[in-house]
Amino acid sequence: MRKILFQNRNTIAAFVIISLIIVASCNLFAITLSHTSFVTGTVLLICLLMLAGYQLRKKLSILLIGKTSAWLQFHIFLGLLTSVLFMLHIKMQIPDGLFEFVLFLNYLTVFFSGVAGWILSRRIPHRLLSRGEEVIFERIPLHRRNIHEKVKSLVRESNTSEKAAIPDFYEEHLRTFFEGPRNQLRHILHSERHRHELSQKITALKPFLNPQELAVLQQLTEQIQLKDDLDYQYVFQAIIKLWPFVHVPLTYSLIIFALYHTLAVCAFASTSG
Amino acid sequence: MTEQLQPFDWKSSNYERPANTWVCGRLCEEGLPCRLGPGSKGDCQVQSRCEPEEKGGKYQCSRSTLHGGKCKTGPAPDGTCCQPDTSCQPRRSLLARRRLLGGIAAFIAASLCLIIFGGASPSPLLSPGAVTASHAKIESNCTACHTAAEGGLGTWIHIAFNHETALKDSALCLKCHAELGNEALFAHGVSLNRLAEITARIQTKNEPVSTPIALQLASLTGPPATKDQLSCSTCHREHHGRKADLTHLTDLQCQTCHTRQFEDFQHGHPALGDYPYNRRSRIYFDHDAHLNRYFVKEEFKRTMPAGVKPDSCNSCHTPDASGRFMLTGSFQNTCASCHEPQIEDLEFPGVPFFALPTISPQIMKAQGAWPNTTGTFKTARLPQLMELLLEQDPLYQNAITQLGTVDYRKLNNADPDQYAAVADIAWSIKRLLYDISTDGESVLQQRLGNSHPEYLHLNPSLIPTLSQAQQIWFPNLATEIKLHGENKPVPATAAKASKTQTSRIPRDAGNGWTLSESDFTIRYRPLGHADPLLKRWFDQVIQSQTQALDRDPMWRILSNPTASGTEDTQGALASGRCLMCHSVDQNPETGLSRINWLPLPVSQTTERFTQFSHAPHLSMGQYEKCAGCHAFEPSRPDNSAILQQDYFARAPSNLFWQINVDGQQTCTSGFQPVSHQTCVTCHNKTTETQSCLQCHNYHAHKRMEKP
Amino acid sequence: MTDEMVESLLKAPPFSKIDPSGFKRSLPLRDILKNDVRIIGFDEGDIIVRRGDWGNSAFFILSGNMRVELERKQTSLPDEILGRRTSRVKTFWESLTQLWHNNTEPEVREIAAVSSSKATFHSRNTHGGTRIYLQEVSAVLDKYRTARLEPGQWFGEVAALGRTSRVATVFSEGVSQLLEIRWQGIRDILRYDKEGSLKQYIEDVFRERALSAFLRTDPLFQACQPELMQRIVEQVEFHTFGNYDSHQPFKQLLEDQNHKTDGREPVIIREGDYPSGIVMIRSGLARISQRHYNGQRTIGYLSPGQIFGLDEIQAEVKGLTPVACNAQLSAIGHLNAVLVPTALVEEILVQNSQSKSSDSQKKKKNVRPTGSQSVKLNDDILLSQLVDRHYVQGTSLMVIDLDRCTRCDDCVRACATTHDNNPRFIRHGPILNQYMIPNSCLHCVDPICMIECPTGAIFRDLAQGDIIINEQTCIGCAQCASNCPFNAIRMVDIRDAKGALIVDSQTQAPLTQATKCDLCIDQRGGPACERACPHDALFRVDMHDATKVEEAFSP
Repeated sequence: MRKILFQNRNTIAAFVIISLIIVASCNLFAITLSHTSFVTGTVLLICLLMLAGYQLRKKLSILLIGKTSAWLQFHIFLGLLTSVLFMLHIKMQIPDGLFEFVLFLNYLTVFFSGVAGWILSRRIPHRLLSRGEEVIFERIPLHRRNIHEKVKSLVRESNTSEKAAIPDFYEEHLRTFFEGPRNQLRHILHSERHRHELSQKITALKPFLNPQELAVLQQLTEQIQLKDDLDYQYVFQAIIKLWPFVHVPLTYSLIIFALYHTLAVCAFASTSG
Repeated sequence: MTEQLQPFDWKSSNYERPANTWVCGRLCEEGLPCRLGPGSKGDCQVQSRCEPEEKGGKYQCSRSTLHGGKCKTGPAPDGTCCQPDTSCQPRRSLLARRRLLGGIAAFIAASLCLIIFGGASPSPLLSPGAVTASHAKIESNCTACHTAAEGGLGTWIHIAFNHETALKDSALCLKCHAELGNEALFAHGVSLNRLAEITARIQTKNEPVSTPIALQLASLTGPPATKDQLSCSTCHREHHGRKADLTHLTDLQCQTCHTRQFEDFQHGHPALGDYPYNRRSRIYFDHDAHLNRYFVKEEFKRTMPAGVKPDSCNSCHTPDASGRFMLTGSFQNTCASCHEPQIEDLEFPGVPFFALPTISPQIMKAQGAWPNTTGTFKTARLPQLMELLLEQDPLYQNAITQLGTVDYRKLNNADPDQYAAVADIAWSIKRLLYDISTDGESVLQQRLGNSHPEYLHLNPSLIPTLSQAQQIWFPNLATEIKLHGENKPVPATAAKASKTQTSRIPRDAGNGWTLSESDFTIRYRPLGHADPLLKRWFDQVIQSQTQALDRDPMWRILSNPTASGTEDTQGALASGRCLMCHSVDQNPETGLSRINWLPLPVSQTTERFTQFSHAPHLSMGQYEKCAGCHAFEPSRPDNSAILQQDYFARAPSNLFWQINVDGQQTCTSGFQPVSHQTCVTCHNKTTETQSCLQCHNYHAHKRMEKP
Repeated sequence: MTDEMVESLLKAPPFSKIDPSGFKRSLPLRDILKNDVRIIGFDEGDIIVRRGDWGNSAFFILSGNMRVELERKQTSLPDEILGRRTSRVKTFWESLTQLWHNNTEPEVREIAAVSSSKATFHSRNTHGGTRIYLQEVSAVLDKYRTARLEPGQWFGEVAALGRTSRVATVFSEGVSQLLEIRWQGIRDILRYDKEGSLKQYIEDVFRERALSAFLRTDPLFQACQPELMQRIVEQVEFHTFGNYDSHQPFKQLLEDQNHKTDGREPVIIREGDYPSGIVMIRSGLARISQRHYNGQRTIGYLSPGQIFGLDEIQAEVKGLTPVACNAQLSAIGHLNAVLVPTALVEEILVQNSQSKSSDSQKKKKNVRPTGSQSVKLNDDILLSQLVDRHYVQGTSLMVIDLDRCTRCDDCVRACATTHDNNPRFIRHGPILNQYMIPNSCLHCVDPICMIECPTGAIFRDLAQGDIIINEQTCIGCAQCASNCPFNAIRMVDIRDAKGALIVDSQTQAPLTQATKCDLCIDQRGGPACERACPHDALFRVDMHDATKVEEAFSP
């Protein structure tokens, strides 16, 4: 698990120390009867904007503003730090008000999707490397089609004899498999059941085939393996590409909610905490 | 080894453009992308089909050279293009979809903010949580507490940048919470001057102790400015649920503004000083003597109520309904059985209010009747009231001037040439008596005027007794006055006729006034405890400077704790001496004094920083005995002597005691002050009952709920 | 070049000495001269080549004198006088405007792009071009050590043929006329000249002028006494291995995945042989391999300037018995090498050990631990693959660590942003262990892509050595794309600003142009892809920097 989450141990130490400083200074500040929520809120908002700034930095890749990897480390660091600030801000209680509850949920979704993405982006590359050919995600339909075309032509070739064992088998068991991405959940769970079932069916079919058909079947088996690997790649590449679909859009709504919350609080909070 | 899915060579794999907004729809659907790809606006650029042109009944291919020129096959006879339609509907790329989703999320959030939570006035949906139960009734009305609630978004923005808002909102709080006084928003609800005064006092009194580290660190961020008004929200934070404690503050928070900071109650809290004895008790009561002698020795047992000695403090002191104060039992219930007889003092003849001086008939001559002819007048002067009533009488004053120094004991020894003056005195008295018996109270009013209002409206009234005296002593006074007024000789015989009447008229009217025929004096003897006349007279007379009063004979008689009656009368110990037990307090600012008729005036002070409730302490097992906190001072050998000093001071003349009017002086109560350590035995870290708010009020002027 | 000028050139040396009969009929000497040679005039102080520049051509002095600056290190002519400029890098604002100025359509080209270079420094516009010149030649001559080059002499051929940077600055002393010949021209002449007079001449000249400087780039020779160096220079042997035009077999080699390298590559020194001297690579790459069962296992490779065989001679000096080589050295493609005879090397070692004892501090600096000469990796399979697939050619090889890469395509997007919304590489390619080598330009030391470009549109940037394509002159012949063994060059259909394809006015066929990674040469901060990677998965490696290679490929 070397360097799985943080690049080095110092980062973790820094995180712990900064968190402790924040908690301590917040408590000290509360002693002076100051509204710590205002302070934590302000810092939180700044952090939020800085975190969102990571997206902007990606766009500004042309400018010399540090390596993105450094920014990402900072993004993760700051993101985790906001959880500490957030806990202080909400005083470890689930907000009662509807608006604030929405804000609360929004933050949690963004935060946890971020954490999930962080872990996923450390775990999935290894999985992707472990199985199947590394392909470009956008081109997976193309490769899938190529496999399918090849399978179809194989099936057509074997259709010469009158007893069309392989076309029947194809129609019965293989067509749906080759038509699109299949067994996504099984891949996620690392289950190989579908492959075992299919190979059992193929083994069961073998006694009924002549040598030519057996050769075709062998080729089909290879294509099944290819397609299954492609599915595997598809699922995990999709996961790693789709988590930002939660994280990024909700960040925008979070910022809007947070700004609105800030305004409302500044206007109303003088009589409440 | 399976074959490679993807070729890398430049002919079969061109650049992938993930940054583009659109991708070929045919790639997504069929995996068959075209070479052209979609345009930047999401349009398919493939134009494999053309619109064949009709030329002379024949259709001709119109495909531009850019797209490959005219095709070989040409259009079908019906004018349709022969080429298959390979155009597609381009799809958004992953990046573009994410961007779109981001836009939608932002839009939804913004509309939620503006429509549901925004609007012209704030929606209750915006409320960050339930308010406490006591505010629940006004929860739905945001404007009750928030000035910002009066408008929509625009107002909010305006208000968010306004520094006054907090105070404006606090003013809304005070609309209901008027009990906090006019200066509620200042620190502790006291004026800045008062605060400075208290601060200065405490700073001089208390030794600086070590400040807790947390407070030292916190002070780096700067304590709240106490020089100005503070908003309610500084301490009270609402919208934290129905059951939230609005007044919860930690000890450190309480101390943050304070100049003297300390660890906790156990460590570093300023000593309690003489509290609760930082002033003498209002009733002079020698606990030591009572508890250790009277309530112990058998000889006093007979005077106790029902012959039972009090065995605990409860016999006299019981907590009030609120449990805060210990009330002292009424006089009737506690003191009377022993002290009522002393106050009644049956042997005390009373205070002379009116007396006829001894004037021999030869001095009176033909000046009319004068009953008191023999014996010696007991005092050098007339009773106080008489002197005052005669003060404005020109005749009397003239006579006094002629006589020089008047000693009524030696009036009969006057020179013959002074006889006329003495007669004038007699006549002045007779006229006074006549006036009063005929005109009553109005004469007192007229003669005393406003100079001595304390003698007006005496209750019970002196007038009936005076009238009675007139009838007895001067039955023919009206005739005599009339004759005297006409400068005719007045016969002295009239006095005799009165003697027949004497037995008929009761000498004692039962209201304290007595008419003594033997020495021709009208006296007032107090009826007992809380005598109305004396109480009223004291209340009025005490208003003036007590130093001057000490020379007032009447005051001397009535207030002197050591003497009773006139100065030559050896009366019993206690009669009439209200001030023997009831102390006098002088307000240092107004100079007015008042007599503490009651032992402990509840909620007398308007400024209260500390609250203490007896009842809970009494219910604590081992402290049930009051002595747990209120211990006797063992080192004092003679408590009573020292105690007395606090109430009475010997006048320079050493003849009588002066009333000590300084109520604030440190009192040697006979008890040890309640020590801080005593409190700490229970209020400490382990019991967690040592917070500031356990004993202290922030709002010093908060009106107490009536029990 | 006009035909008349070619004729006149052919009549005078050195071309008169070349036998034209050896040339192919399709490519006679005349044509070579016509296409690859031009005559240019220079004025006093004009700078012809600058030290450190990448040059593609050699020069022959027709008339006038040249001055070669002999100083090395800090005392050499300062960059300011040389008027050296870094290539035009975008300003901050220009970088920023790319965000919205980039075309939304792919591969948009300005059809009528005119590039006008601004003259700065001491530059003047003469002889149909802008030149930088030295203002006071006499002062420069007083101040710096220079040597004179006279008519009939060649210069610049070393850098042109070796595809290395220029070793010295040359400027014109007085008015002069030069013959500039592109490296392809020299190559062809050398190949077909039967008598080899030019080759001999070039070798002699190299020996005379550059050999000493070249040798001194290695620490072994740095402290060498002038007398010994003189003898070394005289006795060094030149060797050339492999076909000059070796890219063709190289491509086949790549396609044939299962072949064994053994036997195909010309062997320079065999394992077990006693070395006749140390081999120092002038240009090209060499593989170090060891016998492993019945095959050869690659254990390292050598880049230009690196030495092979020193360990054995050192051991020999110590043990006084000849030591056989424990590894085989073979040429990858075309290789120029010099061989310094054993006796001389031993002399140097003795000399160095004497200076060592006198100054122990110097020892550490001068003599590095033996064996670190070549690039080595712990994972010899990976190394072998890198060598077999010729990735060792790369001066800026793009590598993606797939254990870290989340396939987010940020690198591709960053690349597109910096190239007018056009990516310049594809995030797919062969995978070695967990390292993907995407189809992106390696910027080879020996760029095969440049060989057959008809317009010279693909060129090496003089300042940085990056290989870039000039969009103004690319005619879309796809020669480079098919030559590139790494699939790093892609042909694209070019469009106008509205997104319409630009077509040939006659055939109506869409015009294409070659595109490839240019290492973001006009961007601030270098390759955007590397900086844009959020997971430090993408990096670029100079395969000739031993420490960096080791660092990059250590898991």
